[in-house]
Amino acid sequence: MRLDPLLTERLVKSLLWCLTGLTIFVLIFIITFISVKGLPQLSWTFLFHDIEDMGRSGGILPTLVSTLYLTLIALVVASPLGVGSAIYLTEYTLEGWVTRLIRFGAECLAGVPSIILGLFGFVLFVIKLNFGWSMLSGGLSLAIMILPTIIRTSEEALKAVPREYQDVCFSLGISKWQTITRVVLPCALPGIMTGIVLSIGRAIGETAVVLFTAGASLRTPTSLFDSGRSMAVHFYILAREGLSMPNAYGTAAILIISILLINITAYTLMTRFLQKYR
Amino acid sequence: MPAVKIQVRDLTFHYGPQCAIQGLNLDIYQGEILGLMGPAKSGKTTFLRVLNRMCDLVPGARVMGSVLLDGVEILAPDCDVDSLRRRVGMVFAKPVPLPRSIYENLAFAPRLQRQHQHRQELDELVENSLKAAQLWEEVKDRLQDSALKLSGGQQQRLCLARTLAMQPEVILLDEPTSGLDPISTARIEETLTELKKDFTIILVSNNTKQIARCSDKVAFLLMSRLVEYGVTPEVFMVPKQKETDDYISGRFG
Amino acid sequence: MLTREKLIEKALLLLALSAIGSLALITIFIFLEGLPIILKTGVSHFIFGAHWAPTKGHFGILAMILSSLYVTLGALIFGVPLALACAIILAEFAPASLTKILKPTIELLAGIPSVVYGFLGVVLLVPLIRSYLGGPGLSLLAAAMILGIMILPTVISISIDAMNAVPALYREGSIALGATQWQTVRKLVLPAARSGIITAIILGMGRAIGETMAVIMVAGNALSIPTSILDSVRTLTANIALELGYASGAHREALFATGIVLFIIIMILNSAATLIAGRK
Repeated sequence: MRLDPLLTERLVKSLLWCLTGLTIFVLIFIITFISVKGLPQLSWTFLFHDIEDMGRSGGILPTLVSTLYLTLIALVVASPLGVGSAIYLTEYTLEGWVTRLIRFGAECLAGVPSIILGLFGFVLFVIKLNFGWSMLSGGLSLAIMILPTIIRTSEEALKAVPREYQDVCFSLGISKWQTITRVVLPCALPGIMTGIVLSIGRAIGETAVVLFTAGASLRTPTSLFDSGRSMAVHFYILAREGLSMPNAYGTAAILIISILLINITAYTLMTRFLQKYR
Repeated sequence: MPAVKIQVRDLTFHYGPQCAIQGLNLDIYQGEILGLMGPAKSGKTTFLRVLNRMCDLVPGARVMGSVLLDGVEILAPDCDVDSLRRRVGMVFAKPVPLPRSIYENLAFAPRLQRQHQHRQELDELVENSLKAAQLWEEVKDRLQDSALKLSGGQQQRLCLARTLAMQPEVILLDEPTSGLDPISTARIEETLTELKKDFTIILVSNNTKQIARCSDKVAFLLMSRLVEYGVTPEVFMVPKQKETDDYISGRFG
Repeated sequence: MLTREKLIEKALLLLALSAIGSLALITIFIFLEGLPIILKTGVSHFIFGAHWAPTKGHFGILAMILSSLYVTLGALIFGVPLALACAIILAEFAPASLTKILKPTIELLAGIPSVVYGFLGVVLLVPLIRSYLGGPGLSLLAAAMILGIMILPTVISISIDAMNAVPALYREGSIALGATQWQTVRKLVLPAARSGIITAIILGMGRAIGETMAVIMVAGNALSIPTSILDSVRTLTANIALELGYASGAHREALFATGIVLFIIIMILNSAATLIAGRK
């Protein structure tokens, strides 16, 4: 017995809308739940006081400092590598085995799970290079994690800059490197910044990589070689050990809010950039 | 008798397997406008791009023969292409203003030269270039406005001014008025006629009437070969080759 | 002739090799650290041995391989139907204004850290499972459900892109012939977008199998082969993360060896995705 196609259509549509509604509901619920339980925790003291009693009380200042430190190092290392790679891919070579190799490398790197990156960072930076559990080890490992994202978004941003601009510059006798730095890069900058901003979001939320390279020290790190606990790691420890639910919720809230703000910034940057060139 | 600015001998150009120019021999004179005419794909644009070595940018490009600018071979591998392109400027078919102010569009290339470090020198250069391109009166009060706000004709004159700001000796124009209205076209033709006494100008056009109006000498290219070359009024009134006659009278285009 | 421009080009090439260089380094180091112990224990003993007791010298990771696979399968069972439904609605049926808000929102939600998902799993989902279905709550089921939710943004986003890539002309032609929207989607759009959707699913699978923190928090981490979905399980990733902090010597090498197995599985998945995506 074949159902009337219009009836099938209506049934299927209802089913799909229900499932979609469920999906959206779940995702929104996550954010609301954390916010509702965690926002009340956020106070000046919470944000800017030291961790006390292993995290059962006090604030999360050391974790904020660690997170900033780690993210900064990751950005400082990964941005020149990523943007440089993108410039090379778009401006200095044609499609050939070299570009395919580089892109293959970047895509595979993007697929490496964070625990493997943690293992790698542990064996190379912490042990073999003797940096120990430190901001440096953590930052370098995070840099490898965000490198593919920066390469991909920078490449797209550079490709979006009209080729004619370069023709014009060459015809005026301007060298290739000057053309890239004075005309192409400035035009591509919003797109490149989007990639960098998105990477910040990813770095902040990352736990497995950081736990095994930067450690989980409760002190505020003051140098590259100090160990430190990022917000995500602190949250993980609080949650697993059950040390303090209110503090856990508070840390989660701050994590989610910063990441959401960062992603919204990236998204608005990207839309404005696309508007200029489409 | 005007001096020979550019001497082309046995120029042959290939894009990969395709031949775009075959055995071209030509003399281009200082202080004149040379018109290059011919149907599409006859090698006109390719020839322009050889003159400022922009052809290098195309993968698989092979050029043979000799092109002398003031007696110096520009096809030599050790030729400084950047400095060649400052001496031989180019205006493209589609006006491409950079996403900057009008002033910046003109100033940024000379500034990179570091020849004009004083603001005053740069201002003067911008003003003179805009005046030479007959755009000064229209934009002198809004030099800081974005160049993207100008009309098509104005943008093309801006591109001409931008090329002039590099103080070239030769100006190459690749169908500069193809997208413009008749009034803008007329203004640009006027400008070229004014400019020719101080420069060597090569004008590529699909519009035979424009060539007839503007140029002093004309070269007719057909399917990668030079078919005829001569003084413009003579070529148009008494063409020596049948193909030239056919092209001018519109039997093919 | 070594001009400034040539130097710049070489420098940029070096930078560009950083990605493939890092990948090479990671592969080399993980294999260097882990391969000896695999060879010492014997490949088949390592992969098919069901007994993991590193302090006593037993290095069999079968239980964890199976747990990882089951958890991933479960994640796909939960996540893919929801994701596809969402993607179909947003790409084909929903008004453009709604999609314009919802698609970026879903992509934003991809940024939620895995530890937060795990935490919510522990606080909300695990007690539910414990009360209504029995068992410890920390289970294969919990992990599968949480991972299913975690891969939603990835699968939805890429599937929508795949469906949007199908030319509007196909749809218009079909509707003009009298087909309903759903018929058009089922018989035209979905088959046309099939490789993109498969890529999305494989990428989601890769994310699920590589996920560590959320799984540790809700799966229970018991060292046995699961026989029911309510059993506590330990995945390959959890195994590494739980023991790396205090392992040493052969034990630590065995964790790297676990990493090798994980790495290989994921590389296979990613290559499959690239192959299928390329075969459009």
